[in-house]
Amino acid sequence: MSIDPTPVHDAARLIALALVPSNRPLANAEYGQLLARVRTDPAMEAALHEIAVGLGLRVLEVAEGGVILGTTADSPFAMKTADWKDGLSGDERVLTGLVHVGLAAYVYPRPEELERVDVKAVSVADLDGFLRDACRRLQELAAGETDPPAEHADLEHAWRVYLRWPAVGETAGGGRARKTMQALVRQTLEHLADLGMLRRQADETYQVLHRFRVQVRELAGHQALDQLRAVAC
Amino acid sequence: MTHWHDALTRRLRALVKTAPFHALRAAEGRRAATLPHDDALALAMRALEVLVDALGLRPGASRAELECALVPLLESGDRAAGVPPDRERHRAVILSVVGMLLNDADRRQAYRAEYVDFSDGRAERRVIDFTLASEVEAVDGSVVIRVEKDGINLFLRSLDVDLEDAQAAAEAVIRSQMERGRLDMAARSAREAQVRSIQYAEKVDDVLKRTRRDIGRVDWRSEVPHLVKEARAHLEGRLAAERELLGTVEEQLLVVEEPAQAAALARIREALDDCRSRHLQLHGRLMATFDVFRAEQERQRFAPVALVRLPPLEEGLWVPAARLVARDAVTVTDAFVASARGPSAPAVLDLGVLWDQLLVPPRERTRVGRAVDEDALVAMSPPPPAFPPEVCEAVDRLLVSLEEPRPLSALLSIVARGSEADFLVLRALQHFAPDVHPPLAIRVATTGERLVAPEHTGDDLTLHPEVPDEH
Repeated sequence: MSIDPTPVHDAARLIALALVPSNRPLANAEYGQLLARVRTDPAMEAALHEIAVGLGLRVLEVAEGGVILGTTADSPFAMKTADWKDGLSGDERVLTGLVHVGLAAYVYPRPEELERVDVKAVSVADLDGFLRDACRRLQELAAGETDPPAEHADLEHAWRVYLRWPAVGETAGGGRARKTMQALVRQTLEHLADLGMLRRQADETYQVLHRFRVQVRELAGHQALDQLRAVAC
Repeated sequence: MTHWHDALTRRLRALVKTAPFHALRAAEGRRAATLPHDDALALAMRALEVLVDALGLRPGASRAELECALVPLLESGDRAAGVPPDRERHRAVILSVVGMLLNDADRRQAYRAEYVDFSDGRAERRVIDFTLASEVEAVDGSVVIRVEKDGINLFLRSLDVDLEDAQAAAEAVIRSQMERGRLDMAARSAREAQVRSIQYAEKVDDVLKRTRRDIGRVDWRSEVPHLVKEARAHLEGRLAAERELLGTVEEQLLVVEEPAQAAALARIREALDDCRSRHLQLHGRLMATFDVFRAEQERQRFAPVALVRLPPLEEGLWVPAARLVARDAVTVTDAFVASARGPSAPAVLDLGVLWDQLLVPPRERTRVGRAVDEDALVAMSPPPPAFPPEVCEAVDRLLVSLEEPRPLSALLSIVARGSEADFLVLRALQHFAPDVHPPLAIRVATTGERLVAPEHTGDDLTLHPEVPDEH
């Protein structure tokens, strides 16, 4: 079988450009041209999807703002929690995960919000407050249950880990303590901002861009639900 | 018998949608920043107007534009109440007005309101969701505010009318206003008709966009064919009406004598032309809808991810994960994190490249370019001054006479607009962090606020008189 190299080359180039979230079709002429072509050329569009699947990627959205790519856990392009921060403690790994899922729950409370295209807003203190309240409600439900034995720390419920961490704290010298929930929320949001999912605003607030919604709606939400079902079985 | 009918329900729904505005007014004076004389409702209406004006031409209006439109209203309110204007306070009030339009207080979800419907002869509680405005990303990556359907309807005073009816109504209104010689009003109505056309195009685009994303979420068996059929009939009617109206406008343009009337007619013609080209475009897109459907059906048959709708994320995902023991919760959240962060190209150390880089001998620094022949440089006469000397003198006199620090915005309100204001701004910039000795004895620093002035924009600056013995 022979293949026409032009659409394949162009589609691969488009994937390369889309892998860098700061690239914008309006600012990058090549990106703009390739994007215009893929929306009208079915051969190139088919090539785009095939190449993406072959690389362990998914084309989640092709729109005026650019191509949004997604990845699954087994892809070489997937970022593991451990990849972005070495030496996370057991607690930190649980909490960072809860903050990621919690951010999605905070900004997209109803399923309809996942269908829109607007930009949401979140602040470090609000997100921590929202998750802390949810944990307190779980604590009330669990009243009377005993804590897990100390030697099996990973049998502790995730919400207990959250409530064990203070929202804010001070160091001996009066500075902001590092091992607090707000510091951890801040780190997570900062990291998502570096990845182009959020945009920093003044006063520790962030704009949550459409890109994050697409990742949650098309992939992350489903991956997590599958895992939840697998654990529940 | 309850004597209840559909029109009452429609009006009730319309009234319910004004609730956020009343809540905003109720909060006046209770919030620290808002004073009783800031009419938050008036501010919200002006904000809606700015947003509606931006519609169609651009993706939306920026927060700075809204600020520019609302600050004069706040200042005039302050003057009437004898309160000194306070920029910080104004900003906080504007934030609360825009926050109301976006529903910041409830995480920017659609507003949700309940009402009672008696249509079936018994009282039934129903829920409506509505959105006044949203923040969206423009293609260039900037974030702007866009007015949404319910915001437009509220602004155009037609909350209870169907989109298609509203369009026909807008044209009927233009026709009657032109017949009565009320050209200014007709021009405004033409603008409203234009906004309706934009809304209509967005409604059809939305269906096509949803189809492209997931064909399963759009009802192509009855909803879409119905919409397309209706839309085509509507468009054909509109195109005919617009053609006729345009003809009338052209005829009147030939006979009208007063310049104001001619200008109004020209505005009507412009708006109608725009509606017409939008409708023609939309017609083209409608004709192609079923091609889109067939192409997407073909493509999405092989879609790799099963697209089922997600449950509400807090109750359906976060809470169940938080109730798990830490070890299991991590497996769920890790699966989420791996996808939610998006792909990143793995960094791979290429030993070959590293080896080559290590072996490259250090570069020798050479002089850049050829030696310059000093004699070839001839002094030129200075360029003619960009500002008339009397302007420069007047501004400099003002600046050296400063006795206490003053913000640039305050000084701008003193000097005349045009070249005096321009020169003042340039002088201030010249003295901001100068690297050679500046001409005047003043010191300039940023205030951290934004400059709000009719002709200038940027950071506001404070101009301090320099204490002579400081250096």
